[in-house]
Amino acid sequence: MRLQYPPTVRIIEVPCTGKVDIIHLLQAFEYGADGVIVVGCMEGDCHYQKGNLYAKTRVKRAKEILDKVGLGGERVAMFNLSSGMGGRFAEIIKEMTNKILELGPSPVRGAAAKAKATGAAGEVTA
Amino acid sequence: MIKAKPKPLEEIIDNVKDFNKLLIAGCDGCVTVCEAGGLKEVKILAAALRLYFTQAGKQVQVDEASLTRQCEKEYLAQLSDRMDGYDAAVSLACGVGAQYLAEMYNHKIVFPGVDTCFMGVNEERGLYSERCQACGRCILAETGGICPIARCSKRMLNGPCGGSDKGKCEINPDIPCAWELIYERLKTLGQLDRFERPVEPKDWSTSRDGGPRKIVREDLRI
Amino acid sequence: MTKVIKEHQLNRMVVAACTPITHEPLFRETMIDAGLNKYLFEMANIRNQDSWVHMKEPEKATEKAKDLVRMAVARASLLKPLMEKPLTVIQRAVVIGGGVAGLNAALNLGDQGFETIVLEKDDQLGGNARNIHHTIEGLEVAAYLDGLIERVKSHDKIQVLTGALVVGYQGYKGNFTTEVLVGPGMYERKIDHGVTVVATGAHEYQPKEFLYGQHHRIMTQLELGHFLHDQAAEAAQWGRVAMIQCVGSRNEENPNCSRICCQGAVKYALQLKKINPETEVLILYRDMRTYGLMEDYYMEARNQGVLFARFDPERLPEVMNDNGALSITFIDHVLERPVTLPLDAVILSAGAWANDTEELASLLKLPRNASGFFIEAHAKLRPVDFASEGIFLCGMAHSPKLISESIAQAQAAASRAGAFLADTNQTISGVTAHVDPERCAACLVCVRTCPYGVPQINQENVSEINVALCQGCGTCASECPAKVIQVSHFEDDQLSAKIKTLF
Repeated sequence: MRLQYPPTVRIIEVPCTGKVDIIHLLQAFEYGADGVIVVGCMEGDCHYQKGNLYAKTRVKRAKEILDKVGLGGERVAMFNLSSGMGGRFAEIIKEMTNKILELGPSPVRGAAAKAKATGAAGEVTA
Repeated sequence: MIKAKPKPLEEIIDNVKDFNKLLIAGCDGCVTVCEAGGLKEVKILAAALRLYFTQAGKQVQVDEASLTRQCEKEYLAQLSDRMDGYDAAVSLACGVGAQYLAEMYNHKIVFPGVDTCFMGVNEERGLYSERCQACGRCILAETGGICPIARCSKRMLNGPCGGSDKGKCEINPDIPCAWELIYERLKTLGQLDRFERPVEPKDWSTSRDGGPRKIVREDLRI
Repeated sequence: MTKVIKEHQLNRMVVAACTPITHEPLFRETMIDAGLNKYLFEMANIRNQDSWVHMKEPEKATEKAKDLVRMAVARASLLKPLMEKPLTVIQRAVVIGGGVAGLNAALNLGDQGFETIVLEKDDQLGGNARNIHHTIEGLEVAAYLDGLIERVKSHDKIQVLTGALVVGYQGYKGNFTTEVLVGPGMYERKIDHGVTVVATGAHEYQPKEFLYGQHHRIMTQLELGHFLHDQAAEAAQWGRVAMIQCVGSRNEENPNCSRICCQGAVKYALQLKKINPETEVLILYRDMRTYGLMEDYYMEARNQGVLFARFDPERLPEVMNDNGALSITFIDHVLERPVTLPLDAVILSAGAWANDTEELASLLKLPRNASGFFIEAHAKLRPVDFASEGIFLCGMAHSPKLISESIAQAQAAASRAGAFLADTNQTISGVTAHVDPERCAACLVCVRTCPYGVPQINQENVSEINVALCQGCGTCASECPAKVIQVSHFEDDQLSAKIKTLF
């Protein structure tokens, strides 16, 4: 389909969102990510049965933590897509990129990693 | 086992916000089993604190460790060469471990990172319930294996109070009446005659009423 | 590439190109040829993830490509060689379900030379096909089915167990053990096999709506089929028949389209017209979906005067039974007014509902969708495989299908299953979870969270994960409160390195 979306994301493959550890979600922000998207299968359609439901609870907790530490929970989000939803994937990247642009760069990146400010948002996907 | 739950992050942040070098110390014992204070929670809390300090523009060192058990000197001693490097520690062990850590490193401030709740069971993952209050003299033999001290809201010793309603407790309808449970269990066991023997008033001196307790096992000491 | 590896004595390889889905196996082969462990390979997908999707922003895309390569290199430096244990494959197949799909799968596997055991829970074979007399093309189903059953039963490689209920299922790809209770005697049988084909089928929904059950001439499509077969003379007397589509489909309870009822309505409308061209046939539909070449039959039905009237799901037709006299009121979509017509029969095009496979799904640990149909590993890339290897899927257990479609899918499943059985050089993937027993708290979290029930607390009182059973999803690793589980090839530091290198 080659649908165009903003070149703001870097994809990290995992076998299943069940493998997406909350520690890695937080770590991405520690290193300086402006946002993290977890992309899993549709609920009820997990190839490994329940991995995406576990990922959902972790993303929820990561949101709460980000809210409490002053980064804002909206910087992390989970989306459930099937392999046939490329169009929606491109939309999500656009929406998330716009949301991050609105929020501005992560205060962590501003404060700590002043190195290469590429405007990149980390991303974890299954 | 001891059951605890993570303290609200904001409370921990409030405690540690003025320090510069922090150790987050977990415990591989009970709190790992109830998922309140194992290495995973240590890593999550440490990451959260680092994010908090960084976004606040503060350079704070937040390190991670998890000990086999914080209620043992030998394991706490594993921190001896590190503790001097920290201003304060957050202990993710139960209240026992947190205190013993503070006792061992009495020149360091130790904050609790979990709320220690009770001794109980994992009914299923994420669902824990109380079974024992460590009263110091177990009466389970008399009560069909169901403890009225831990499970009756009023610690009744000779049958239910007037607030037992359709098998539920008047304190909270989600709590089953312990004495209803005991009655049913004794019936199953064919031991209803137990009710004919009243339980003597309990000697609470072996419980907290006798003040902080100590066990001295001469048989184990040389 | 092999030459370069040898020349420079490389110990890792990163390829920045296209998708690992198609090309990773190829490059891994190259690694092996060059004498390196195939897990020491990493791919940066700078095509699908970059050049294709950012073709209008070449500079930013180039920056991203550099990042992707950097990430791949970072991970590659931490990759470990993994050993794959050889997999023994028991050369026997079990087919669960003895309908058209299961029988075709069994026959195909038997013809390939593999011993195959068909488990049918009913006391006879054939499934839904026994309720269908002919296809829309006019092919005789009973004759075909009899022949099929005969070929299966007389096949020297195929064994059929009817009245067979699966009560236990253990093992892993190539080495399954299925426990079955067979026949009225419920005698227990254990079958060791290498692959499983799930063909448990579906059934026609029993309507609760449109007065179904209150009048003998309010019937479902399958009931009409029998009626036309057994009592054609009576049907010839009918003056007007209404068919209502999407009964028990595309509603809240069952949001799916059942796919096959539109062609069913057209098929039976044409049959009614054939019996008596004077019979008026009215098809009340929401959307007619006579997909593919079946559109020709739809056209034929129109040409023969079958009336099609669209209804709105918010304003359903109403069937009335006035002391045995049937009539229907519906909103004519052209007139926008209610029209009431007396009828001789009402045919409910009842949807195809998945059979009750809740217990089977939990025994085999297979995913089903909200409607109870089994879910294939990938709709396009692995359409007859389950995500769990060694288990395959066909027929209406997967989704509503025509007989021809079930046959085609059964053959696909059988060829996939056969290819698996025939491959005796298989290995167990190195991507599995491992417990560090030193710090394991035996907390049972992994035991309770693994969707496949693989981790067990062993005699040393620590969790142990059987690599042959582990599917490598990593759920246990991310949930473990002691952080003592790692998934090989996706270890925490390998993922962290990818993140870290970006900043």
